[in-house]
Amino acid sequence: MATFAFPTDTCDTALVDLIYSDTEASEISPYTDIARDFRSVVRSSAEGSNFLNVQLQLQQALSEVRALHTVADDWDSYGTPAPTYSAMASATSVINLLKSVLVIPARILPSSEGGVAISFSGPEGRRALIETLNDGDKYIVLFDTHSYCRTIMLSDDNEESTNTLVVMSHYLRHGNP
Amino acid sequence: MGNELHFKNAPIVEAILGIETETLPPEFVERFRELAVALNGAYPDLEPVHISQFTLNANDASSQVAKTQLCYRARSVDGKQVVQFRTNGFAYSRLEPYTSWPEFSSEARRLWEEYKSVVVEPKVTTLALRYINKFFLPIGPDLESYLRVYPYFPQDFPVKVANYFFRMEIELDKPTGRLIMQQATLPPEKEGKVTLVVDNDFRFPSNNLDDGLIWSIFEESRQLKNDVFLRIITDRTKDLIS
Repeated sequence: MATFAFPTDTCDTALVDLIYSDTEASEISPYTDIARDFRSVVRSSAEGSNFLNVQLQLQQALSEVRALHTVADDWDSYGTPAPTYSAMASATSVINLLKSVLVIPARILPSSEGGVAISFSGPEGRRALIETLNDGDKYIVLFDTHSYCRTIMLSDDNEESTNTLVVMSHYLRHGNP
Repeated sequence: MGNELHFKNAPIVEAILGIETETLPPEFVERFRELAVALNGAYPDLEPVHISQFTLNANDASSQVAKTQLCYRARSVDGKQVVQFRTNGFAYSRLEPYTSWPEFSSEARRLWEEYKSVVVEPKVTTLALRYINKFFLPIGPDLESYLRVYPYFPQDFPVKVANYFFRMEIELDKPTGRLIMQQATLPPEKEGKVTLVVDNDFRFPSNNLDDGLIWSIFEESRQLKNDVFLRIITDRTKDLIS
């Protein structure tokens, strides 16, 4: 008999572990090849689906946000503080909202403003950067490799934030309306 | 089983219809890009899709990464419809909200006709129909209250499942093929609920079928996927999505 335990959003799912776990390089066992082949089959299957691909990449992004807890103060030698838990929680909320707009972050880094920076790239040099800062501010910067630059504040309201992310998604894919 | 299967809160998050072919020369990638551009603006969002192959040579510890462009992926304005014209086939995806089989299959068929305007007499090797469903199941009751196919634990070995991934490949007789059934938990999205993905991927090996047969197999497989779906969930789950 099996029942579901209470889920938590602080652990990766079995599917993500299976696909992205990097333990295989250190595995020395006669089953390594079998495990690698199985992982490859499952990865290929997941990548064949737009839905699963987005889910898995966003889960990977959430793991990268969690990994920022190892960043120390003055990580850039310019005195910038490490991302706080509240900045990381805010970044997590934003990434969860990305599921509905089908946009995947390119990189997740500590912000030079103190907090978390989530970057995105689109065609023709279009870029976006979401910053969730230690002081509670969060905003999106849309820019390109020419001179375009626009900043939009992100609200604490999920619906408003989702609408702003739709604007970002549209900008990345198609440029300015 | 009747032709129509409709639930008010249908759990389908993605339906994919794929036709795999023998691999074409790389010069087709550019022709596919032109084709995608020519889809009258219905799929304006184009992105290249690559496959990367990593080779590790154990003898001299050297490694090599080969990156090959496979196709262009084109999305509709709302991002809910995605088509891939690949050097090894074609795939059309409909993300939620799924509408209906006639709408889904007729758009797939229209795009397949476009594919054939570039690839004359493609050599079809596999037909694929995949439905990915997402359920929000309450925490507490046994898995068997909601699913009829699930990882089974005996009564004298009660467990609480925190996460699972489950995959089975099942032989099919009519049409001849294989069902790849996968279930996986995803991060929670609703309080007190487990997010469970049930992914049914039907694959039918084919050998240069003509178009009439291709679409008749898809019609048959549509019935089959409805049948499988209804057999793997319980009445309680049907109530959740009705």
